[in-house]
Amino acid sequence: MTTHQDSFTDKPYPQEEYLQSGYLSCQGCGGSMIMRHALKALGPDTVCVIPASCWSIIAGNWPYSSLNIPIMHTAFETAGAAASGVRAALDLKGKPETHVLAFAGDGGTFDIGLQSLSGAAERNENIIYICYDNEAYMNTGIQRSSATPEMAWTTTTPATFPKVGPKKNIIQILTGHKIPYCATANVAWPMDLIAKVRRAAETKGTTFIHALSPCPPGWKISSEKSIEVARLATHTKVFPLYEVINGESYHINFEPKNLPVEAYLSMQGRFSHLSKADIAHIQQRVDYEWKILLQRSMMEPFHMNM
Amino acid sequence: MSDEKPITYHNLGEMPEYVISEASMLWNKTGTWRYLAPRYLTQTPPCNQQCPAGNDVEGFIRLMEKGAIAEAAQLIREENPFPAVCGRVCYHPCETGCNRTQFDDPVAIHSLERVAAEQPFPATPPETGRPDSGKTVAIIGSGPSGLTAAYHLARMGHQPTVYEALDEPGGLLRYGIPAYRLPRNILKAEVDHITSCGVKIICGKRAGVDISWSDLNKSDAVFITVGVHRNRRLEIPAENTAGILPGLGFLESVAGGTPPRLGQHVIVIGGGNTAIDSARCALRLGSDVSIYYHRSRDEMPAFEEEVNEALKEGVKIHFLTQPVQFLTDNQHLAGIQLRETRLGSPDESGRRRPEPVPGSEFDIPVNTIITAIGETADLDWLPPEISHENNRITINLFGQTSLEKVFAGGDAALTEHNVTTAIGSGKLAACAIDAFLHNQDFTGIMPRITIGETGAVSVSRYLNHGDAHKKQGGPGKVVSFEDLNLAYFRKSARQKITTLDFNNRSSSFEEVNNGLSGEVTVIEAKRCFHCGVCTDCDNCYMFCPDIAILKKGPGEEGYRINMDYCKGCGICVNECPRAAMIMEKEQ
Amino acid sequence: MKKVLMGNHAASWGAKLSRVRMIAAYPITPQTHIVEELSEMCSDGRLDAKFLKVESEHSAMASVIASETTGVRSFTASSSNGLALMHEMLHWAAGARLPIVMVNVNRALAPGWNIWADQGDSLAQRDTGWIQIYVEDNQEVLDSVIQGYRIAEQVNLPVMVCYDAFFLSHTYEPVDIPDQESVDSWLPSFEPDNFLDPENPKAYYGLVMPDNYMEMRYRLQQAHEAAKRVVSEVGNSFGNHFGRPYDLVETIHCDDAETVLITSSSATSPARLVVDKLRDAGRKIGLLKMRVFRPFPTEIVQEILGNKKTAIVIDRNCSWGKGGIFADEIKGAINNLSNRPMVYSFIAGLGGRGITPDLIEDIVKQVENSESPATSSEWIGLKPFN
Repeated sequence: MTTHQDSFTDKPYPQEEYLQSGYLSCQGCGGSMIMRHALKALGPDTVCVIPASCWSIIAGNWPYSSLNIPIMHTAFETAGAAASGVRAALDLKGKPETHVLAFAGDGGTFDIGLQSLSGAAERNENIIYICYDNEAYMNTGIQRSSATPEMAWTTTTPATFPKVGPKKNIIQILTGHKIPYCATANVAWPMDLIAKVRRAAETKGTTFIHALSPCPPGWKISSEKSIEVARLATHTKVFPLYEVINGESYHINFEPKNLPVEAYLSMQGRFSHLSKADIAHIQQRVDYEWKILLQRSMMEPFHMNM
Repeated sequence: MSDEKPITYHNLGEMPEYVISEASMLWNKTGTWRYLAPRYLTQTPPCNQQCPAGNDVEGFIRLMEKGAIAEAAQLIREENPFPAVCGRVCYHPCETGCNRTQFDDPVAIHSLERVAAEQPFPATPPETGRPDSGKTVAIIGSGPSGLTAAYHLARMGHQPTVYEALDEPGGLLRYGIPAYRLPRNILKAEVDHITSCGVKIICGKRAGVDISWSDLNKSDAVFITVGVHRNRRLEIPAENTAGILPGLGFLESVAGGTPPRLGQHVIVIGGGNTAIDSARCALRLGSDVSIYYHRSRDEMPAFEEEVNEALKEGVKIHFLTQPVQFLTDNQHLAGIQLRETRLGSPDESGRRRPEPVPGSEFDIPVNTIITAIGETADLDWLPPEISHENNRITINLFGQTSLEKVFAGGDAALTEHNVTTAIGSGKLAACAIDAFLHNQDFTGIMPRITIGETGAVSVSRYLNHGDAHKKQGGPGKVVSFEDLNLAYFRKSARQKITTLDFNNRSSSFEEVNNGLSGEVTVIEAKRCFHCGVCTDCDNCYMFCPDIAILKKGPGEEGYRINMDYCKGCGICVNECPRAAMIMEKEQ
Repeated sequence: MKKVLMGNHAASWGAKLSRVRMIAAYPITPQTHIVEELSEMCSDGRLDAKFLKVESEHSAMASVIASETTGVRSFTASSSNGLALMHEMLHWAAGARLPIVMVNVNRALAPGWNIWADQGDSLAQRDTGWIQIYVEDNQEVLDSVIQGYRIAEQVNLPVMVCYDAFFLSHTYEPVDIPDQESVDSWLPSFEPDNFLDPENPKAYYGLVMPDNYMEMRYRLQQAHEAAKRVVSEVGNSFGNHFGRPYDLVETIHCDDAETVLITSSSATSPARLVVDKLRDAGRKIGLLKMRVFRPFPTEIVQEILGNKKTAIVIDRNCSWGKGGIFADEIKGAINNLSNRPMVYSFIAGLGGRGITPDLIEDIVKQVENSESPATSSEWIGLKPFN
């Protein structure tokens, strides 16, 4: 797969907008970019379900909406179930081609919403689930989630006692459901993200995209560095870009530049307390995870008729 | 419902019963959140600033990248009538300045210019919209500086007449640069194009001999660009012996088709371009050639590429050796005595001064010696009102001599002697003369038309036609390597030019460099970073989290910023690969 | 068509005849037969609906909220802990003003685990904004589900039909199942004005700021006020069409009664026997069956109890730290009347213990022998203290 930064000959960035300015995201918000790209990939025949998250605010307060597609705000833990309900109703109304997008944060996906996501994935509901992962409960003021990286600062994991344990591997959880399509994506590669959302839309069944979404206030970065930091996450292998077909067939989309994790960590205030030893530990973990990913990408997928 | 104003409900009756939206958020002008604002600003690419001829390097590469080669050639001719010449003989400081140098290899700008120049000549020079002024300008000397000035003055509506002392126009281009570097038909085509643009060239008229100063002075303005033709002497014993040839004279006779007979072994004294050219010509006339130079390779003023080619062709270069005296036998040249030198403290040129090593003298028997230690101008014919010093005409910042209507340029007025610098001085003179003829103060104009901080002047900017700023970089800041966002560039190999086989060089004046082939031209052009110039790459547009950057629309390039909604995050500027945007405080 | 049906199957039939299109449910004893039956109806084609087998009650409610928002008539059923898990989404359904109908089989909450009858589960959802109907027998189960949709879709409020575990859910009774055509001619199809529609893109259920939230909630309260009239009208219309009228409450011998016994759900049936028996013995006693708990029929309760001497409320529930919930609500309703009865509150039958005619008769006797009610609810049928 080519990415924008690989090549300028990609399909041009779609020009239709399904989001209108005036929405309430912070400066440099990754989440608003992901929504914009995703809707460009899906087009107007889309219904979106938004559980409690930054996007509950970003979209605009009643009686306004900054989206040109129908959206339903729903309770924090219900993205999977609510999307399933919309899907069922659209099918019943003879509209199976209408896309149903669940657009949830990491809290609504990794933590409180994991059950309903798992339910939807296990039933293989024909929905597209995008998790915009800003790695903490940003909307409520930067509290740790299970998507928070190891040793990161948040308001509930102070620098003197930072987040214990590695970030939950949500893709592994989803591939465990053997859904037809899982992918990671990164705001720094919009065309890749769009290609993946399109692929998800073309796939029948539950598709899941885990999109890294830098949060300038939460990551303690200057707003203009949002894309740069996201890019480094992939180049340092902290957030590799890959796809998993049927839960088994792994495809790494992008060869990272293999930069040291320090390049990524040192840009962010939430990691400013880390010692050399801490960074070395994180590097080890990242290298190990990358090795696993490489090995998975080399495995033959399981065939039912074998 | 209106999108432009927030909705306020005054009574229950007008309020919807359900939590369902009624309008967009467009009324919410998030631009008020902003502290700093982005702005598109074309900045100066280093190549443009570095070009002594003031070419819009980035501009013509951008056109070539799209395959618009003819348009690229025309863009070059807005500044420089000699793309074919420069594409061959320029020492291309643009490539030295190219930011790509710090990434992988510089863009092969020099070769790209040559490809552009291979396009058929346009019917007319780039349009200026200037009417005939009726003013005449006498130009003395038809070298690159004189012809460039004539070309632009003609474009500006004046009537330039060029007086050339020798039989053919071109000056040093014709008589100083050997044909294997600059084939004569290439030069002729560009000179012919210049005359077709309204320039009159009169050959065989030496100023002060065939035409008097008072006649020349009848023109509304005069541009003196007589070049340097007087060979500098070694001032050592037996220098007048037959068999000792002055470098420039030797090159002129080769160029004129009447090369002198040379011995089997030829020694060349000197380290400049004339020395190298002489050595490579002598080689092609069938001799073995050795160059003796009194300093080391680092101090050699000749272009490095030329030195390398000479070495590859078989020329031997001996460093740290200086002539002591010529050896004669019955009035005939028998050899040369040389001695070793070592480098002492730097001289006024900043290069370390060679000091003789006592007792290191040695003799070499040889029949032909070419001396090429520099040339000076012949200025004896000038009227006394035009001051000169050290054989250089005294000029101000923009080429004006001590006489208001008389300007000077090229080698006769400059310390730096090369074709491209001469072209730049011709341009500067053309602009300054034009301003003079229109009674305008050029001092105020010059900063506006200077490319970057220290570059040549731009005729496009002077004439202020078209989107000159976009064409010729912006004012002020030159984009440095650190200013670029390298995430958007991939390493790619510089395309190689093809060259004449070495076996064919010792017997032929055939052109050595063949330039880039057609198919790799666009590949090479695409390597350009376009430092400081927007290429519509869409990064700002795609990455704006607030959809505040909009495409200008059908048929129009570029973007506009919707300040109503720009929150001032700065991502567009950070992600601009080429520093064509800035963040700034708003007025 | 008459059939002998258990209460749960009567609920399934009610949903089927209402032509629900979407069912999302999670199994819990004693509700399971409802979903089993509907599941079969969907798979054998008797019901053209999607059965979404979700992974929790919370998701069940979230899904039907979503499908109703997309404009499709939806149904779910739960009980006890399952209903408790739904709690958040019950608020959501009412706040979103969605005409969802659900069945709740009243079952005690854990711990300790208890699967038997108790109204504590649904009464704990009192303030979620749902209409709550407490039904007495299997016929009423079926009829109330069908009425539920007509009520809900008129006032845009969700309706919860509640009945007692095992006493109804697992008990077979003859039920008159109306023809589908008959139901179709009475219950209009679901055609909401607003639904998730790419042709008309709107945002649903977004952030409401303080400047508008209170008005939104006032509308919810107004809808409940209106629902009182609508429940009566719908019950009356149902009676005209199907021959079985319903109302917010049912009164038996109340007109000349001095004492009114007040019950809900299945406890009403033994109370009917007791009242008949005592009437035969010449006692001026009547029976008030509280059918609709939300909206609370304050006006009717005031009218019925206004000139009575004694009211006896039997609650199969308890608001911990206060007492019987129906009793409390009734006291609240009549508090501002100048002539109001003494209200006796009894708690009985928690966790599936029987409320028998004998027990009810004991309660009446106990009231007759006392001068005034105790300050707190009295627990009936407890084991002796030592």
